[in-house]
Amino acid sequence: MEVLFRIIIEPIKCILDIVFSTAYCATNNIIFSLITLSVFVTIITLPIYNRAEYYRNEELRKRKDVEVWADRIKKSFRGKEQRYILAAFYKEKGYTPYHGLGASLSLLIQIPFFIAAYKYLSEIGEKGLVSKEHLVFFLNADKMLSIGSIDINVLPIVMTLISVISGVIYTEGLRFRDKLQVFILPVVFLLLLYNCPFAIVLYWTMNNFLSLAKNIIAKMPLKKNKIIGKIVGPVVLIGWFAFLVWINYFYNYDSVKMDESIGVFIFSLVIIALSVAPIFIITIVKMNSGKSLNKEDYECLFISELICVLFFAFYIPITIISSSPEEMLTFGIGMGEVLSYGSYVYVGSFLIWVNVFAFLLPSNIRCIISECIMAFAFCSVFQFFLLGYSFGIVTDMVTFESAPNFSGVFYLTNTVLSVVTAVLLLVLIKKYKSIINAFGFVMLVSLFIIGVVNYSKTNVSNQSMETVTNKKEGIFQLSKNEKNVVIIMLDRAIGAYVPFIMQDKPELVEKFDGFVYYPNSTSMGGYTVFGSAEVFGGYEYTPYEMNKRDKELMVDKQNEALKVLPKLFSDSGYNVTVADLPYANYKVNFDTSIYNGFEGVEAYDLASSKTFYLESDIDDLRLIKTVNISKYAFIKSLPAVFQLLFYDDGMYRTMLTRNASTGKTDTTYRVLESLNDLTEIEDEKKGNLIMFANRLTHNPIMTQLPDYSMCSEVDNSQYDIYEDHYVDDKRMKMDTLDKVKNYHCNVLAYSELGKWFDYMRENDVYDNTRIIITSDHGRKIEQFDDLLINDELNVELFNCPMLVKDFNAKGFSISDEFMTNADTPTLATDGILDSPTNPYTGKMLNSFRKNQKPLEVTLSEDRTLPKGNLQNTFEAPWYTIHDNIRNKEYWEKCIQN
Amino acid sequence: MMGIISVLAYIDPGTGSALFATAISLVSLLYYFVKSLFGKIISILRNKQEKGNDIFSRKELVIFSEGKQYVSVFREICRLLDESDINCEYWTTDQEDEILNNEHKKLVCRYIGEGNSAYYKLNMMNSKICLSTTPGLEVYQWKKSKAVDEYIHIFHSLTNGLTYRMFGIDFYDTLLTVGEFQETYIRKIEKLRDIKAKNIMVVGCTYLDELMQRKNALNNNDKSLDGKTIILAPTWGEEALLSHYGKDIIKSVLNLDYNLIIRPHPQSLKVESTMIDELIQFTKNNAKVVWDLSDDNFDSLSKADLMISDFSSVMFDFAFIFEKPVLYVDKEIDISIYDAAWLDEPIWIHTIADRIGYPITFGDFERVQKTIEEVIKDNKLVESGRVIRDGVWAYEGESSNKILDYIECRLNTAYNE
Repeated sequence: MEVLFRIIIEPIKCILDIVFSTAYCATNNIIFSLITLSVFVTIITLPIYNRAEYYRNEELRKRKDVEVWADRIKKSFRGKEQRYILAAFYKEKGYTPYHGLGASLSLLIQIPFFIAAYKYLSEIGEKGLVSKEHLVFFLNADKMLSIGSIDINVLPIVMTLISVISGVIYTEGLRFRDKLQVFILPVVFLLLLYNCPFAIVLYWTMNNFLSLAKNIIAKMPLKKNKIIGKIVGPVVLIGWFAFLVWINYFYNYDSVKMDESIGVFIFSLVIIALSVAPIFIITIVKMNSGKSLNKEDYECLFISELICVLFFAFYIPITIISSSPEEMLTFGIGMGEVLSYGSYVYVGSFLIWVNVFAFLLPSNIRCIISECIMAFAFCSVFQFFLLGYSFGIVTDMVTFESAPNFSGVFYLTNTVLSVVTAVLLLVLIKKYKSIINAFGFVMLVSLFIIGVVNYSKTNVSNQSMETVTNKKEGIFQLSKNEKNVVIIMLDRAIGAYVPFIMQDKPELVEKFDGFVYYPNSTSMGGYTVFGSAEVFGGYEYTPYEMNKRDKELMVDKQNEALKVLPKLFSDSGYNVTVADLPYANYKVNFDTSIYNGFEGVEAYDLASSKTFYLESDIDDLRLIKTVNISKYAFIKSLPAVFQLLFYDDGMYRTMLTRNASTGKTDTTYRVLESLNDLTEIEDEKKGNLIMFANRLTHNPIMTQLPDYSMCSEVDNSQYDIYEDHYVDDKRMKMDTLDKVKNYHCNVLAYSELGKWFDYMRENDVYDNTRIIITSDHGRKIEQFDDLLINDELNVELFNCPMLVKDFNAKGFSISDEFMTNADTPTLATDGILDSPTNPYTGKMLNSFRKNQKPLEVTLSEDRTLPKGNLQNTFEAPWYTIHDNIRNKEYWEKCIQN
Repeated sequence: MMGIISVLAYIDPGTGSALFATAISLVSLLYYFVKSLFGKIISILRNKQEKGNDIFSRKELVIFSEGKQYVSVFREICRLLDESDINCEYWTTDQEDEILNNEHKKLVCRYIGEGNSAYYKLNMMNSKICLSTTPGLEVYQWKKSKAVDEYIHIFHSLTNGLTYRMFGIDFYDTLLTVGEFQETYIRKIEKLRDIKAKNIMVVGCTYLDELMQRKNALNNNDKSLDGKTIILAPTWGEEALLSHYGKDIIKSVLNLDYNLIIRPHPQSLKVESTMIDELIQFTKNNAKVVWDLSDDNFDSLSKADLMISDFSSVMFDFAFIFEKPVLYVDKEIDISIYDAAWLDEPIWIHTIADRIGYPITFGDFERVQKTIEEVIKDNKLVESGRVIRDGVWAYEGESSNKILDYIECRLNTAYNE
């Protein structure tokens, strides 16, 4: 029963969610958003309403048709014979006393819409999915009037008044008994709904108002009543909008807030309008029964529906999960759970709602619907397999690692191809329906078989999947007696932040005692896929150098780079501990299997460890995965012009996951926060190499000022967070929230590292530890003017931090020496290993390369991981740089030989 | 929970009440659904039991008769069918039906029981054609069987086809009519009710044919009553002659010193037995009064010199076959229960009544007596009655053959599997 309920309700909730979240995110105005939602529901249920009206009028007409003779029969016959004669008469007239049921059943269909809206709006209140200031709308009744000490809820009263007015119009000409029912009910429900939360009552009031408008419009042509048409109508409209303005005023809204996203909102409305346009067309198309559907039409409808369900709810999600089951199915989140939401939505949408709409509407419309669904099914498959565009790396949250960006040409090509395909398919379906049905059936079976094969693969790999560590201590060993080397890669950390961080948190200068900060530092790529191998493997693993080994797969070269230092150090008798290193086996989560068979090397996937996740995080993860994967499946099958709109920068136009924490920021923070606990101080006569990466700096977050601390409920209202920061005359722009949050997460990372360094000092392992802090790349965020070289090149993208503390070093100093993150292995091995040689290439490990000739830096934006599994080289525009990253003259465009 | 209940009920203005109506309708619908489901289950179970029963094997023709009162309608047809190659059965709900008890070479005659047992068999009938003179198909308990391709109605009285209780012949596929005049009326009704036009074929009238045949064979000396004889042959119902003026009319006739045969409508014996019993008691000591309660009216008709009736079709039988005078009660008839009520025009029988008979008004019994005296001596309407007869009664003496021709034609063309 629960399953059936969800199959019916979830598709509607999903659509309401898209509309409400779009409106709310664009305007930040609850009233406006609720009105938008109400208007949308009214529009979408209009065909049903029209059909109900059609049935109602038909019923009235037929009732009128039979009324005279039915009365005469009742007078002339008695008892059983009367019933027989009446039944025969009704049969001849094609009338049954249940004829009115058709109209009522059409109205009955509206109930799920209202349940869905009720559940959706209640859920927003219960889970606090809107901002704190707006939450009150979802929890409390309006209490807009006060008489003495009594608060009066105005909205339910207004709603009742509208109901009564609407009832007067609706029941015009009906019997007194019918009228009475219409008037008693609103009064009963006034009592029932009087204390309902504001949002729900406003939504209903708006619905009632629109219903009133519908009734007035429906009655107008018949009545031609000038009083209603010219006076009452406008008065009601003006009164209504005045009422809305008053509500706005009452709740201290100056006006509907239109921020910069209004453009997106208007565009969204246009898209939504276009999406519902067919419904409008259906409502205005003459409601004649036309030809009835034949077997082919039914086949067309059901095969296409099954294709859609199978494709969106099963095939695509399974494909995504099977590409990396160990990432998708973490923490005991099962395949069934991840697929559940999509199954409810798509089974409900295509097998229930499409059919309900189709069968409520006349058969000619039903026929058109069946053909459109078939065309849609084929177009979706076509779009996914042939017209699709790689969005880049899909994370385990089923979002894209970097925001997708389509070129204008791609948009145009894709749109034209999509339209042509759709039109062509419609023509073919119309002409050769049986052949298309046969194709559809073949497609259905193929998708099913491939899906099942992928599913079984997923199960196998899921079973063989190694569980991540649940250890919470003794992971990182530091020797008191021997030398320790620590390499920390802060993903996407920007080097230029360091002086500002040290100024904003001056206590860090002391904590970072012995460190040399190299502001003149760069990576050779702007994304992890380009810039992480060089951090751990050195200059042999810059994108340019890896391209030269074009007979080998990129993934193998990445793995090799990650193994260079562990192999060297472990072979030299060091304990080696690695954690969360990037893209081992080109997977988002750390695949520790690349170190299988390495003696003395311990590898840990801390970031995915349940240790650092809370139960609530896992629940949220489950929710995000299941919602996102279902929407991803749909979006990827849409024409490009819709894709980014519905992707909504990874939010997938939903409120449901708005408060759900991916746990990523929290987890990466918790790893850094737990460094002291994770560290074990030993007296062993063995040195240690610790290498780990952390993505806290990749997850922009607002911290609590003034000390940039992690806080669940941040309140920086007394600070001007958008004020630019200055170190001497050097400016760091803070004019957008993204810049602010990006800086904050960097400060937080350094603060936590500072605490770890204090711990080291307290345990006498600081001086005998060499520490290198760097990143794989920076981020193009336009905070530093001096890093902007030209329209194409912003060095923020490459400006990795280079902070190096050697053994027994003191003080915090700055060096202008030209550095790259590929210097890391040289710095790590310097003075510890004699003539370190790359065990995989046999070449010496050093930093000579940067002084020999300019270094090649890739500007590639194509950071897609799956391609790396198949490709041997990166294709990209290249620049070269030498000596000074801030000198525009030193950057030169080049091409790879 | 309260919230959800509220949501369920409170949809928008008007819709809430509509939903309440729906709920009530759904409950009653459910009741009838369960009831019909129960009926269907019983029917399926019975069907399983009856499977293999020869009565439900496929036939070409089944004649259904309600009983002995319609023997004259089917007798000749059955005789002809018995000699034909048509796979045919005769079903009756009357064990005393003469045809049931006659010997036949091929024709299988069955007594199908009465009431529900009969309806069950009728509703499960498996035949290409069903021929019947019973009205009310699909109106009362007799429903159309899905296994019958064509239901054919033949008339058992001379009317324009609209004197059956409402919708009596609407669900038949074919009407075999007495004369062309009937089609006009039937088509008018079809148009008014906006129903599918039925096949109509003029075939004549089997029972009139038989009456005529018997009349021709009659020896005039057979008449056994002394003096003039009047037959009182009314229709049945509250508005009928006996119900309204029973004792008065009997007294008036008896005052004239004529013999009186009272022949109530067969239906009166079923539904007005108390009234009939009272009248029998009233006349039991009068030797001139004879009550004819038999199925066959021929003897009574042949003995009578004048008929007093209301608008019963028997007046046509008497006027057309025996060419003797008819007196009919000239009063408004309540036709509200008949198909004729649908037409805003005088009922057909009124339009021709004065050309075959003489109107009388009850209440003025002296005048009635005078009219009887005059008419019994000199029937001035013999000729006009003949004209009317020739106009309404087609294929005199040929009806059974015409019916058989039609059935054979349909079996050879439309249902030649």
